[in-house]
Amino acid sequence: MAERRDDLTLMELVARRDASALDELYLRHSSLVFALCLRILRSHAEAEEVLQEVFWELWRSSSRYAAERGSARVYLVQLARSRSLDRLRLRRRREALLADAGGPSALAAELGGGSRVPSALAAAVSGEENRQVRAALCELSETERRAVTLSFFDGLSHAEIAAHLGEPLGTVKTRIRRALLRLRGLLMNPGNGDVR
Amino acid sequence: MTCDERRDSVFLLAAEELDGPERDELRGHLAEGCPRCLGALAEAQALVARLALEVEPVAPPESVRRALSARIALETRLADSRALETARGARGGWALTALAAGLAAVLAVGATVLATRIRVTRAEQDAHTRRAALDVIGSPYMRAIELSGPGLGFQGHGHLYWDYHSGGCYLRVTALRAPEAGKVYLLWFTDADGAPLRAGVLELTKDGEAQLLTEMPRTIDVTGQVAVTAEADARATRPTTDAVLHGELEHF
Repeated sequence: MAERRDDLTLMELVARRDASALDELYLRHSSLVFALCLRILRSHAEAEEVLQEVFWELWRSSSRYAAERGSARVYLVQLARSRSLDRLRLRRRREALLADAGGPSALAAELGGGSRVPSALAAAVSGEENRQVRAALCELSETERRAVTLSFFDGLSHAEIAAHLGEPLGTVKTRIRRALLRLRGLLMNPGNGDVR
Repeated sequence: MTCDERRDSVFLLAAEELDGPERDELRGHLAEGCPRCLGALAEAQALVARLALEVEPVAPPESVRRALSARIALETRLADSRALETARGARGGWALTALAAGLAAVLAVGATVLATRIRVTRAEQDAHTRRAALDVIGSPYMRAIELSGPGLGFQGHGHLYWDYHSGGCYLRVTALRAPEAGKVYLLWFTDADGAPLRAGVLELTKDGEAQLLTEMPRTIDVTGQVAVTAEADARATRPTTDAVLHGELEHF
C-alpha cells in the first residue's frame, strides 16, 4: 500500500511542479473546498469553477504558501473563501447593474427572503466532524449568528447587513465583532459557553 | 499599545472585520515583523478557517478533477511550445550570423542542414500547437464564436475556441489580408471592468492564415468583446485602431 504523504510534503512537491502531488491534495481537500464554495455561492456551476480556480492557483503560486502560517487545509480554505466572495460580489455588481437597467435583481429577492439564512444554517448544522464549530455557532444569539453568517459566508458589507436587518451600521459592526470574538473563545475553550 | 492588547484586533484582521486606522496600525506593526503578533495572526487565520468547517464536505463532480488535469497538461504544452519557439529564434539568429560570415564557404550543404533544422523545429512546434488545440476543441466545456470583419467586403474570418474549464483558448483565422507595413495583428479580450486585455500576437502566413494558442485571462468579462486589431507596437497594452475582426463572448 502506498505511503500516505503529509500535506507539507505534497505542497513542496507541488512547488516543484509535481502534478500527482496536486492531485493527491485535491483528492484530500476538494470536498471541503467545494462545500465551502457551494455554501457561499449557492450555485453548483460557479462552485465547480471556483474549486478549479483554487487548485489552479495552488499549482501556479504554491511558492506563496508559507507552512509556518498554517496548514495546507487552512490555506486552501482561506483561498476558497476569498475567491468565492470575490465571485459573489462580482455577481452582485452585475445584478445591481441589471436592476438599474430595470431587470430582475436576484440580490434584492435574496435579501427579501428572511428565512434563507436560518434554513441554510440548519442544513449545514449536521454531521459529527464539525460538531464543535456548529456548537459554537449555536451559542451565539440569533441576531449574532445571522450577522456573522451574512458577513462571513454571504460576503455582505456591514452597510448591506445593516440595511437587511434594519439596524444602525454601528450596531451591526459591533455585533459582528463581538460575535466573532465570542466564537474565538468558544472554539479555543470548548464547553465553556460563557467565554468571551 | 501592547501585543496583548492587539490580540482581539489580530483575530478581527484575520476575519477581515478590521478597518480604518485600526487596521492600518496593526498592519504596520505586523510589517515590522513582530513575531508574537505574526504568530497570533497565524493562529487566528487557522481559527477563522475552522469556521468554514461549519459546512459538511460535499464531493465535487469528477469532471472538475479532469478539467484541472487537462488545464495543467495544457500549461505544460504551452510551456514546451514557448521553449521550442525560443529555440527556433536562437537557431534563426545563429543562421543569420552564419550567413553573414562568408557566403562563398557556406555552400549548399550547410544551407540544406540549416533549412532542415528549421523545418524540423517548426514541425515540432506545429505538432505541439495542434495537440493543445485539439485538447481545447475536444473539451466538453468548449465554446466557440465566430469573428468577422466590421463591414461588407472586408476580408478575414475567424473562430475562437475556448475551453472554459481548462482556460485554454485557440484562435484560427483565415483569409485575412496582411497588415500594413510595420504593423502586426493583436488579439484582445475585455476584463470585467471593460478594459482591454492583450491576448497575443497573430503571425499571419502568406496565405492569410493565423493560429494562436493562449490562455483565457482569469479576469475576462464572460460577456465581453473579442477583437483583432492591427497595431504598430506589438507590445501595445490597448488597441489604437478599429477592429479588423470582432466577436462577442455573450454569443457563446
